[in-house]
Amino acid sequence: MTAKPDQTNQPKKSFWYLSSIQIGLAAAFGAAALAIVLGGLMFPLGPGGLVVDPRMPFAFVGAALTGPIGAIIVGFLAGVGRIPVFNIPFHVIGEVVFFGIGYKYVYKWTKGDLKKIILGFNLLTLPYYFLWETIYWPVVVANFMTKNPSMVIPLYFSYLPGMMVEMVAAMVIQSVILTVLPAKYRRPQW
Amino acid sequence: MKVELFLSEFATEFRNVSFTYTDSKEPALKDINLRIKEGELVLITGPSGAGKTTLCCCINGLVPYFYTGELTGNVIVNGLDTKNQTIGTLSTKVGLLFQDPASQLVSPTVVDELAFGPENLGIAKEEIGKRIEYSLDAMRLRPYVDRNPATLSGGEQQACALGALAAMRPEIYVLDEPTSNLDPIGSSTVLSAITELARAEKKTMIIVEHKIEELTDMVDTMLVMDQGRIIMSGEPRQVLKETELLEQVGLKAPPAAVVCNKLAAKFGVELGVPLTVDEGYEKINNFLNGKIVRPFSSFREKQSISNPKTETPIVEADGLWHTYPGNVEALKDVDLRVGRGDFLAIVGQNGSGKTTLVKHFNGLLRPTRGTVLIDGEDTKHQTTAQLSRKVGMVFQNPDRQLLKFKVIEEVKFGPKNLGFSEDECNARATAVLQAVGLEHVTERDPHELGKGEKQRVVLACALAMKPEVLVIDEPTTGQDYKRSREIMDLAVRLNKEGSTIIVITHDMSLVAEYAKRTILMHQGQILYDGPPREAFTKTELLKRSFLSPPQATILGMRLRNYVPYTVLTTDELVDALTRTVT
Amino acid sequence: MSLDYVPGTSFFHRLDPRTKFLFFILAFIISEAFDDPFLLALEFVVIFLIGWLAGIPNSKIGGLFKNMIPVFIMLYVLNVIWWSPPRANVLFYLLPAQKWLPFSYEAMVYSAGVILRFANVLIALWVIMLTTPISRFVLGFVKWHLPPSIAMGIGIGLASVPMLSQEIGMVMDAMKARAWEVEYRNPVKRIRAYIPLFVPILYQTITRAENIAVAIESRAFGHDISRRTYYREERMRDSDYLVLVLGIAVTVFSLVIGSYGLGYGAYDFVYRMILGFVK
Repeated sequence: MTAKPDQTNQPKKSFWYLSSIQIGLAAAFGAAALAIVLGGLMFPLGPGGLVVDPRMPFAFVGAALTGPIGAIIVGFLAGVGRIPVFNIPFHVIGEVVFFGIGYKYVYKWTKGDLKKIILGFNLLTLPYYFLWETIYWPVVVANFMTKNPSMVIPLYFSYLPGMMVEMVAAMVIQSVILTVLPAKYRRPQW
Repeated sequence: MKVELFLSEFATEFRNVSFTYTDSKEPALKDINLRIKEGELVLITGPSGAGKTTLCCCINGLVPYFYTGELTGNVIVNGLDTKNQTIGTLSTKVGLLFQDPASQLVSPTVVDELAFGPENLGIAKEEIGKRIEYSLDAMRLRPYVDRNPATLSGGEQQACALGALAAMRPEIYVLDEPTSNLDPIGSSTVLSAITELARAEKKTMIIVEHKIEELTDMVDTMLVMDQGRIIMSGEPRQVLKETELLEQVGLKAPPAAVVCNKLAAKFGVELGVPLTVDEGYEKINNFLNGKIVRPFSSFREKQSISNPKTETPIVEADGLWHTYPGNVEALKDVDLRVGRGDFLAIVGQNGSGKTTLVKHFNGLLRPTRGTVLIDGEDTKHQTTAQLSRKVGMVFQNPDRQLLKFKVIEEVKFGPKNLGFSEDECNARATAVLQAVGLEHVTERDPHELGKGEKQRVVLACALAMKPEVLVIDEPTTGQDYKRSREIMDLAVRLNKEGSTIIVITHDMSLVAEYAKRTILMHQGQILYDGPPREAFTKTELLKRSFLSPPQATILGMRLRNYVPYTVLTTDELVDALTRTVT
Repeated sequence: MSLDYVPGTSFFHRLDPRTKFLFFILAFIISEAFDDPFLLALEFVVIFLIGWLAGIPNSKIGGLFKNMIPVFIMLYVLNVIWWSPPRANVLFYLLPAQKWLPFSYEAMVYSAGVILRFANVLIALWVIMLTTPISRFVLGFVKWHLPPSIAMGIGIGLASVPMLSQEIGMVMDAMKARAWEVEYRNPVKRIRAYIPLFVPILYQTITRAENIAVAIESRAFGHDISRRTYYREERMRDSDYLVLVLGIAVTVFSLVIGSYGLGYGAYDFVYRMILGFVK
């Protein structure tokens, strides 16, 4: 018989409750994303500051495993290393919505099958880049920096090529990560 | 109101406890029965895989609530059955210290680390402050108050972790191999912190350790585990009577006890079992006193193997300096010649420059001043990839070095990078896997292998590059006696086949058993270069670098009236003493 | 752990992190209140001086801005081309035949303001981050009721970065010792070469995650996180309130007189004044 602890004297779990493994995963994956940024492991693609950003797969996987509350931690850590004022809201909202919340539904559909997990995870990545990243940055820059909303259009197209390369690289890296992850850590931990 | 039954008068009690991890078929603990009194100091030892860590984790509830599985029997801590408690409650009574110092540190500064546990307990700020002050003094951490624990040495980190536990005021301390990953200074720091804590707090202490000789005079009870069971228990002197049994299960018995037991058996006398080198010296000296002793001239001199003279050294450093950013001089004017076929140990504390030196041999680091030649060619004109063909390196933690999902692909990674054909890569990989005894796991995921097998995979990866020189970095850190000797025995075989072996270590008994030549480093300089037998006589130099010879050697030196030469191992000492008496 | 933190005991260092966070928000708002590059440049100088008085080396700020140069250039050129007021004085067209993509004086002045606005946001951000460890921001936000689970996760994550960075370095050393090379010009080749690196990094990350979970469980994490206390606490002092009052006053003044109020902050405000003096 497997033992279960007596729960009668335990405090009620609040909305913000995270288990120790959720905290561990959120902190570790967020720290990995941040360490990659600070270590300069970004691949420049050319002038204009376009880079392939290998921290993203770690942020995505960390957020997916730890749920929306854990994704706040992951998003903060992933965003704090580079121009945090814009990156933190970007990462927190993006990681929470697409991976923190979205992955639970994707995982239900996959029933633990690795190929489906990789497919589902990469499908979640598509709207993250095409809807969120390519809209957030042009909108933020156009409205807050240039104060010229029509700038959204040229900014969108200037982001698009770099974004697509980054998306493909992220999909490749996260497919590797998901394959290597022990099976118990492919399941959302919340 | 629920009333908890007070089930035992002992601090900790195991009643018929067995445990099998969820993904495992074999039980990690089998029918454990154990009673530990309040205030008792217990030493638990055993080879890797014996179940020591599992036993420790049962006491604070990590088993079975975090490390899930099937637990039968009862673990009773401070009178309460752990089946009815949570880890949160148990951790208020039990402080568990882990083997790897850095793994248990979670805060940005030492003070924050010490405060973390009491904060979780909801203790008031002022009280936390008092507890922090206590731990800072007890663990001698005051100089590091606002330092990031990640920047401390291993010993300081472990002292910080212990201080963090002490700040929680647990009733029971469980210390799981606290010095396993540490160098001699670090071990000494932690062991004196433990002694201090035991003396000051008089709490129950359960210490798991391989380095039995450091603790036997301190503890009340000693337990030996093997394959999930307790195979021996009792007072240390009782347990140490069975040194042969200890060695059979793969442990290194304290030399003083081994020598006394063997002499007692040989001469049919009762010498008793010493717990320290001093006690061992007393007993042996008293035994030999008055006996007729053979003159030293009748002993054949143990040959000191001096540096082999070869035409072209395979590794040469001339006036080598290395300065890290921030003006840290890690190497100062180092001159070194390593001959082909040498078996050389570079010894020194962490920070002495050992790893910095060897990283110049394969180009991972470049000289700030001076030159490094590999097989006569300056490394300045070669890339790391080119140098990796000549100098192979086996690093400490195998998990840092495993990249692929199949063992054979892992081993092929290096040769592929060198541009060899698929056939050549396959041939090399198959050959080296056979050489290291892993031909049966070629298709398995290397991450799923046991610690010892992973170490051999990593060795195979280095060998697949067919280097002339093999550098092995700290083969004993985090390993038990048996495993570290497996790697070293492989290295001896490779050396016989012609490879030059360089081992970096702070384990002096390893040096004594295997190395033909010792290089002693301290603060970036070479203090001594010569055979181990001579190196162990350089007591001032060893003292300067905070190293000491193996206990067998120390005991032999104390018994210099009876032992005509510097002994390296326990067997040599027994042999010398046996031949001494007519 | 503190990203690029420059230790010190200046007045600015000793402010509560919440004050510094609000200082940044106010600087952001002020930069939005004006479009004129001269006024925005004035704001830049003031923030730069605050940083200089706090002991931040110029080389540090200079280095950070150097990395942003490509972004500034791209944004400047895009904005000049894409923004043109009616009756602009066009210098030249990038596509002269079609009279498309004009470069006008006005657009150049306005775009200079855009870049300076961006620079003000960055310098305000860097001044507060270089004078405050991030862990202190987290402690400050705890006073603003940041949930303890999130505060703990962020704190532990930050503390784990040096360890993971070290691990990544050691992983790369071990790979280089097996003839691994990454210095390819071709970005595709370069990315492919880096892929194997992520396997050991992942294992170290998982190991770290489990170690964190075990370590915090063993230190009473599961006791009752809602009643957790904090040894270190951030407290607002008189100097904080003084800075905030001053900051709010300047911000309100800027909003009133600036582009959203009386319009004195328009992009060509000082430009026209200078033209007026010259004529």
